[in-house]
Amino acid sequence: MVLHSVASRLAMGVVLGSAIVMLTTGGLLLVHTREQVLDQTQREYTALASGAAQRIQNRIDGVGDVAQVLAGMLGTRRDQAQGLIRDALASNPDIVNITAAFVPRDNAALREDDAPVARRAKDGRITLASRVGESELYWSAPWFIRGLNCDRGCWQPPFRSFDREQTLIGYSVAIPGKNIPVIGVADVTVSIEWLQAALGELEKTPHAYAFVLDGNGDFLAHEWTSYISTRGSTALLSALANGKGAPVRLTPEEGGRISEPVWVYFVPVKGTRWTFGLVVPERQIFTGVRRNFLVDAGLGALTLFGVFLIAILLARRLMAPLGVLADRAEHVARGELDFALPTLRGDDEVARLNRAFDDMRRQLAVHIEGAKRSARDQARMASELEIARQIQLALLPEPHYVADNGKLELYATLQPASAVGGDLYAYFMLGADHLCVMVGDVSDKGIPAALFMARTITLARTVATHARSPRDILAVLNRELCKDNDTCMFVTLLCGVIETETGMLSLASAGHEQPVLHAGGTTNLVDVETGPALGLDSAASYPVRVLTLLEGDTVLMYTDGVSEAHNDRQRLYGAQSLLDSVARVEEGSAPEAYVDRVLSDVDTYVEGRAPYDDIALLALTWREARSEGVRIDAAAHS
Amino acid sequence: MILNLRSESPTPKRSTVWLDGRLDAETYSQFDEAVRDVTPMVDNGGTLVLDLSGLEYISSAGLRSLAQLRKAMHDRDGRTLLLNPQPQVRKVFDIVKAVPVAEVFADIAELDQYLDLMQRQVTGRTDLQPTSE
Repeated sequence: MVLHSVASRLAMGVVLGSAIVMLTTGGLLLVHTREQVLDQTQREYTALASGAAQRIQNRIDGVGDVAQVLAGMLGTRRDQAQGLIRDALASNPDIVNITAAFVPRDNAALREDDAPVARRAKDGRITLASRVGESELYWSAPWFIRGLNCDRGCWQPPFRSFDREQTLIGYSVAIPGKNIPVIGVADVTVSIEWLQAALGELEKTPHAYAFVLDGNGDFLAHEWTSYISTRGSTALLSALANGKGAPVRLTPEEGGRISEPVWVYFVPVKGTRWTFGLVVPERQIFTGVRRNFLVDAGLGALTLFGVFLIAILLARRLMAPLGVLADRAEHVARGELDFALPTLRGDDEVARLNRAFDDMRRQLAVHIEGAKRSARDQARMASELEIARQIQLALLPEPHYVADNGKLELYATLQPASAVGGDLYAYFMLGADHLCVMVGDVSDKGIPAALFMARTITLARTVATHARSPRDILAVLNRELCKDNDTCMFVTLLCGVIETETGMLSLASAGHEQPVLHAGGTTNLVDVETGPALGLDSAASYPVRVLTLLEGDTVLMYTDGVSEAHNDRQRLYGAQSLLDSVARVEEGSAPEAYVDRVLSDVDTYVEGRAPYDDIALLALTWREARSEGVRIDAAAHS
Repeated sequence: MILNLRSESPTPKRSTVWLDGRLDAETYSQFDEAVRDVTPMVDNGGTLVLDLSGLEYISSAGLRSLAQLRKAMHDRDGRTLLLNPQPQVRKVFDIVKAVPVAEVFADIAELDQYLDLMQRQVTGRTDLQPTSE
């Protein structure tokens, strides 16, 4: 049987343990009680045998008494012998006949009253007769000679009475005389059948049987009637001789006329040379022990069954909540948290587990709800960020622009490091002949930077409407951004205004990186003196640097996402790498080529790492094939 | 991406904070929190010195933190002076000018000289000869 549940395993364990304990103690107890039971049984059978012997004794004593009394009376009342023996026979129904045999006064002339005999017929009638005249001479018969010597009485050997078809046995007592010791013999004869009947009346256990042995070792009586008058087996007789009153064990192997081992209880019958014997088969004696064993085993089995029932009931009762909890835990594993738990009183481990499980379930539900909410919030945030990104990108003009007269082409790109960023580029016309371009970088990153960027780019368009110089544009924009700027957000901004007819470019920087000029086969940083970043110092001013662009000249404006891009070794990309990158672009290429070249070089440099900072790039190329003007290079000061 | 900070406030007039590492978008909040504990120990009109000799890198987010700190001190008539920036950091200050270049000093002597000058401007001519001299 496969024991699936803890309850049944526990119950089986308890039962096995109990069984081991009970078998051990039971075995020891059985060994101990076996001796006691045997002893007890032996005593019972000894008592039974003694009782039976006593009853036989009583009957025999009765017969002996009659003979003794008669002998005493006959000593003086020889002439009344016939009456005495008849009355004695009449009052003692056990007795078959009574003889009063006297030594004849004259051997030659025997008289009938020398040996009167009273007999009881089978029908109960009592007749008087005489031994005189019987075929055997009574006074020379062996029983008479023996009787003369029995002044205290003695039993004669049994004999077969053919007319009565019974085995009879006589008790003889010498009759004392006045002048001589003995004058005759009083003989009381009884049928041995009463002895046989007495054996049959004994209360014995089944299969036990009794017998009476005479002094010669012949069976006087035996419940197996065929044994009567036969001689006892050698084994039995030697056991009797050696037993000294203790029970003797006999086996068929020892020569007893028995079919199985038996115990024989001998009790001598007093006043005779007889011995009463009780034979009990050994298995009968052990029946008690076996019964005890069976009762014990039955009780043990019953106890074990009881223990098993109690254990399994108790274990089931205790374990039932565990089963429910295991079931509920599987619910939890499936993500179902709304279920009923058993209500348990008390403070045992199962109840604590139950409570802890309940708490856990609630906490888990709370956490799951929180996680869901957080996931929803995150999703909403992500979607909001995506929208914000769209809006931010919408603030930027098209990446590619060619002036109406075809002399000016620019290309710009913005790559936020995250969804939204603080870098910006912008370009817009100021009047008909001026184009304003700017690249900026708001301090910090993320949403605050994006909002500040939006503010900057919107303000720039507004405040620049009537200005023609980057100095004015930056100054006004700075003042606007300084207003209520408690968080000290700032933006570095490079602002250029180019005359679309002449290619004259005025530059001013609010704390921004220097632009790169690719002109006439050389690549240089344009040294623009910077003013403070916008948003910090409302009184700041911004010097202007003026360049005149010639055919094919390209100005590259960028943010520190380019110059401060770094690789795994924390090495910055740097201005020199940027200059080298720009120098590799073929002279006269479209501005898009510059942007692409720098982006791909930075990408290679950071080795595929996610960009650390936003990147804004703006390349501006002047195309005036017939322009032969001289480069004008001057700084304008306020 | 690590910033270590240490501060010392020997007098209510002047506290010094040492910056070590990088001050950028990932560490500026740590810096803000640290100086929030230090600034109340400086009296109104006192001086907070940031010793930048251990600062390897500063980003625009870091500059914003410094600007905000300077503004907060300024609102209490205090001064925030930067001491001994490494060349690459100095360069950032020079370009962006998030704090006035005049408030960045190459060494402690230059800074003390500046503070003396300020002291004289406040107290007037009578203190041109300090009593200790």
